Amino acid sequence: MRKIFITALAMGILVVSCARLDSFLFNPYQTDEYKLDDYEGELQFRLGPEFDIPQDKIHLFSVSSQGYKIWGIYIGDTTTIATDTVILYCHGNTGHIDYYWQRAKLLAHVGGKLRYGVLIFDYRGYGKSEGEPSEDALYEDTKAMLQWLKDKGLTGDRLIIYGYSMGTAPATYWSSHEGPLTPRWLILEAPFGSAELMVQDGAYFVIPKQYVTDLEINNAEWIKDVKAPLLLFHGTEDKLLALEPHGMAVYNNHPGPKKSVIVEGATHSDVPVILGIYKYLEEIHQFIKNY
Amino acid sequence: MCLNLAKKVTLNIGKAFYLLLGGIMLSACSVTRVVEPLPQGAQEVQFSLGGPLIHLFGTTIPTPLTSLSYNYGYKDNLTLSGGLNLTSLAFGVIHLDIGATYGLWRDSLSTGYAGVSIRPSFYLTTDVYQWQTRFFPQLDLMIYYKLNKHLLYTGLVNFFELKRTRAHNLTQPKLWFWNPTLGYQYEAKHWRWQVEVRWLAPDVRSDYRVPDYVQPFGKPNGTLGLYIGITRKLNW
Repeated sequence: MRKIFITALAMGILVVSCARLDSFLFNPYQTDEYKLDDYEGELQFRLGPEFDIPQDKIHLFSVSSQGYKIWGIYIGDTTTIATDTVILYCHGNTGHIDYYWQRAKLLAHVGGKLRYGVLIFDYRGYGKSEGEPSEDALYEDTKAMLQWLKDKGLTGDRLIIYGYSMGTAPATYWSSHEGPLTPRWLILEAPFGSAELMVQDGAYFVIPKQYVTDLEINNAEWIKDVKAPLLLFHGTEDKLLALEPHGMAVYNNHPGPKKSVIVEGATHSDVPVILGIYKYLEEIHQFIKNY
Repeated sequence: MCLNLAKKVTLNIGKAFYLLLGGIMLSACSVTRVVEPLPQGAQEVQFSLGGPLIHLFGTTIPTPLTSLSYNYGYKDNLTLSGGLNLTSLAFGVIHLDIGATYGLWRDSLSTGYAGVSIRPSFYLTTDVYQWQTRFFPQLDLMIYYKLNKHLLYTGLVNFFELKRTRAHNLTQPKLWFWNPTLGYQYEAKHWRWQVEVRWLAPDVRSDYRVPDYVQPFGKPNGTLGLYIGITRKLNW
């Protein structure tokens, strides 16, 4: 019996390792060239021609983030950023800019065509951006884009950060931590509560997150320090990051002012469509105007 | 037309992230178990594999949880067990399963015999990063029927969460998880083979969870778990 115990213990010690699930959070696609409207991959929706953006209002550029070249697209006029109001769009975990291009175009129609500038970018390892994805890279690459906007003359009082799904992490982070710019408004769509809540909700039990992941995403805590008004979009049929507990954990912890748009029947990925795109645009526009 | 609905794309959180997540503790009640107490002095080593069934990458697979257990017949109606979850170990989590199977009742039938056993146990988990330790009690109640080398059993695996709050001080929605179980054992001379199906948490909604659990009977509740066990008898 003792021999068996010692053998089992030795085996256990031998196989103790540090497997982590962190890298599985990211689902990036690489590309050499952004296709934008010509992208033929699967999309949730495609906008009609009335939402087209003139070519001279689409600016592809790159910045350096910790030595990695990070690519972004600015919709609008880069020479007037110092006086414009800009939406910084932090996309989700799958794909790259082409995947979210329709969403970026939609945001370029809040309050009318090209009323607000829109910046969409790819995190490290996504699209044309160099490097490998990581949680730190999410924050650093977003910071690099904020710095680019600041260098163009943008101030925080004319900045809206919009985070979708995984993108709610850098969006909330830079709304609650000191960075190049602090946004005047924060919009979150289908946010995480936190890495810990993801683990516990998925596992049913109260297990510490470090049992499986080193991710530090903690929107539900960071949001307590956010001064910017919050607009939350969340679908009632979101089965990936359910409204309860994820969306409401974030919303309830925000000190206000805040507004939630709970979209009946919407899943994780179709809030603008199920809500109706004009209603979606109007909700954002009214939020910016009234909060 | 302002909008064309394109072929639907699911902007998934990387689902592989949750491959093990769902099972790592939901199937804390993971291992196949000693159903019928061993003879006094008997020793055996058991390897178990399985967990909740999850839809992943277009197929259905059991969460690949593994454990290694040692069973010892302390008395004819009392078997002591100690196990180590190997999959958790790979994540730097030491996950022990300590328990005892007690024979409550056994009687001969016209063919074969039947019995009832109870297995109180607990799971002790701690990680090697911050040494955060959790304790989960469990109580299994099984009724079995044995004929020659075949043993059929059914019963309830009851798993208890002792914490009433979870992350962000949210209320832990469920404290008692009862899991109906059906299993079969084949007893060879030196080996025992075991397969077990469990309806995990049938009173808990499973369709608003990140892992894409297999939901039995078309109901949005619980998930199916599939487990196999291979036991090597050491001295009997």
